[in-house]
Amino acid sequence: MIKAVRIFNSNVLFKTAVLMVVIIALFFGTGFALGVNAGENADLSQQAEQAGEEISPETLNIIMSCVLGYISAMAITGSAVNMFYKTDGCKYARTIKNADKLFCSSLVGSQLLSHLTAIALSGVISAIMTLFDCTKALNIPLMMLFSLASSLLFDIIIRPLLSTKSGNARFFLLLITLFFVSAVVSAVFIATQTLSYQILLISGGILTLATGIGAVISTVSSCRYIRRNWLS
Amino acid sequence: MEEVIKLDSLIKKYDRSFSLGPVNIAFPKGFSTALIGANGAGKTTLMDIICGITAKTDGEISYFGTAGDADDGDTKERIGYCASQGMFPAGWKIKDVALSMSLAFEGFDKERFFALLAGMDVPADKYKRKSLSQLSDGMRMRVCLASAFARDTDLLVLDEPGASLDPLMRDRLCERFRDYIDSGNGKKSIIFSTHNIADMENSADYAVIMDNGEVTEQGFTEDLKDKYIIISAEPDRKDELSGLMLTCSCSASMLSGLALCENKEKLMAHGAVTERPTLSQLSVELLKLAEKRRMSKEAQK
Amino acid sequence: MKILLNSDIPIYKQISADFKERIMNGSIPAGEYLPSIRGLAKELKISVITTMKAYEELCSEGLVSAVQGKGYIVNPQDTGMIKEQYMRLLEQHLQDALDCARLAGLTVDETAEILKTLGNIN
Repeated sequence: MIKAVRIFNSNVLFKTAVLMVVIIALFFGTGFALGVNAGENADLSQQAEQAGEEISPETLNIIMSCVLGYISAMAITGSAVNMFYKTDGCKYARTIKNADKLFCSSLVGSQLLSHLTAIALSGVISAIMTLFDCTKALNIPLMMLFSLASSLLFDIIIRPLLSTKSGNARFFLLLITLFFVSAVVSAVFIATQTLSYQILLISGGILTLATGIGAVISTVSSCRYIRRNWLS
Repeated sequence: MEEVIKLDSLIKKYDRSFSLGPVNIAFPKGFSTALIGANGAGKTTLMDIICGITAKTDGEISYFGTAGDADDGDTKERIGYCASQGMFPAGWKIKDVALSMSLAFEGFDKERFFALLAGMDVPADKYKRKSLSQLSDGMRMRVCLASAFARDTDLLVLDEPGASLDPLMRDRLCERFRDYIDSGNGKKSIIFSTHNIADMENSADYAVIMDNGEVTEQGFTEDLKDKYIIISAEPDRKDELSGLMLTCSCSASMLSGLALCENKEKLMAHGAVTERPTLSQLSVELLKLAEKRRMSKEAQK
Repeated sequence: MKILLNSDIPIYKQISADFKERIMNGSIPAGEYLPSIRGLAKELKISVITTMKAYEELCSEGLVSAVQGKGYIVNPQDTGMIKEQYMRLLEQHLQDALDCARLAGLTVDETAEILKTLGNIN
């Protein structure tokens, strides 16, 4: 599978994944380090309470994880879909033995890579935050779960993305999904403030399962589409 | 004579605009075959089907002596392909091509690829920041050719390899053809298409002349040159000669055209002079003949 | 070897004539293999089928024989007999020449003069 990803995307995706994790780690790491050094109040929850806002750091963290998970899927799986637009019209890919299967496996490989990146991103953030005592270690799995769910969410739209021929239609499709994502984010926003930890964990699990099933259906259908397209 | 690829009543149907075949061709093993025809004659489609890039509608293909599919066994590993355009994704750089191909094909030799490119005046170092879409047509063609020649193959299928090359580079390409054929000692073959055979006259052993999705004539070039004859005569002899000629073009001062060699004596008796055709003369006349037949068939309908 | 690509004489004839001459004068001895068809095509920058046709012509004249998988081997030549064949051919052509000369009203001496001039040119 790694070989298939490398054949069609020439290593770019691996670099993208590593780069994203490194950038986020640096960004948050330096941000918190500066914050601590400047003598500002390191305890964000206290600060939040002082400001009289109702948003807890847990809520912010989970929403951040959702957004980053979706971004990683968009950057990595999106680039794999983009590669389909390019290779579909080029002859080289089809001169390779079982090119359709190979491409499907590269698509699935990129998806897995994007999920791993999503988990790694939320992992890095939560690790940094726990290091600076901004969040409880208990919240780490919750952040990872929501990050994974939102990266799975992107996978649902790859099937329509693949077969959409015009750039405008793709743009429209992405807009609709972004709208959908913001709806999920607001739902999470409300949920994190009202629900208990256990219920949050369960609902995160259900969300992951649902998006996971959607992602699998969409991926299988995408592979069929690629196969049909390349054997015509 | 053994064949490397054999097409048995191969048919490809597109929506309604164009259809290919039924085509029967036996590409001889150990030789280079030229597919000659006008634009839109079906050369590219035919090559794409052979390489498994496009699916056939009907018919049978045998690869290296066994009937089957391009995805069977190591067939695709043994066939090198070079498209006239749109071979690699446009955003790729030369190094992306090298990396991808070294993963996709066991017989791909990266060192050889870069050496070939340097030999064709496309040093990879100089162009490492440029994507293929930023290179000129000729440059892209050379990258494509180098990628095909850098593999360990038994058959090369090259679509219009000479079209975007300068005369000097085309001459070197012909030399590379002969090197390839010679290195295989009768086991390596080339199939290439061209609509300008004059430049590659001495690189074609076997010729397949195609018109409008059908094969007009095929055979070893020397046999074809023996079969047909080019005629030139005074225009006032048109009435006697035209019946013996396959194609006949007549101007105020000269009558010329193609005839079968078996009629040579009769033609000469009517005062015509004859010469052995070159492959490009032959192709032009045979394409005229095919066009003439097609026109008369359509007129009958 | 000298090859003219745009000559009136087909390339394969030029090649076979060259080999014929070299076999006849003994510069390629009997029992030696001719260069491989693909190797020769590469060196002469011509197509493989052309060299093959040249070799086949030598084969049909009995000068060489094809050995399966190995190439073309030069046969032992009965030079006397071959020379005689060529003498007969020469006589025939000269007779034709004399016929033409008679039609043109030339004497035998004048014809011989033309022959000498031609020989000097070549």
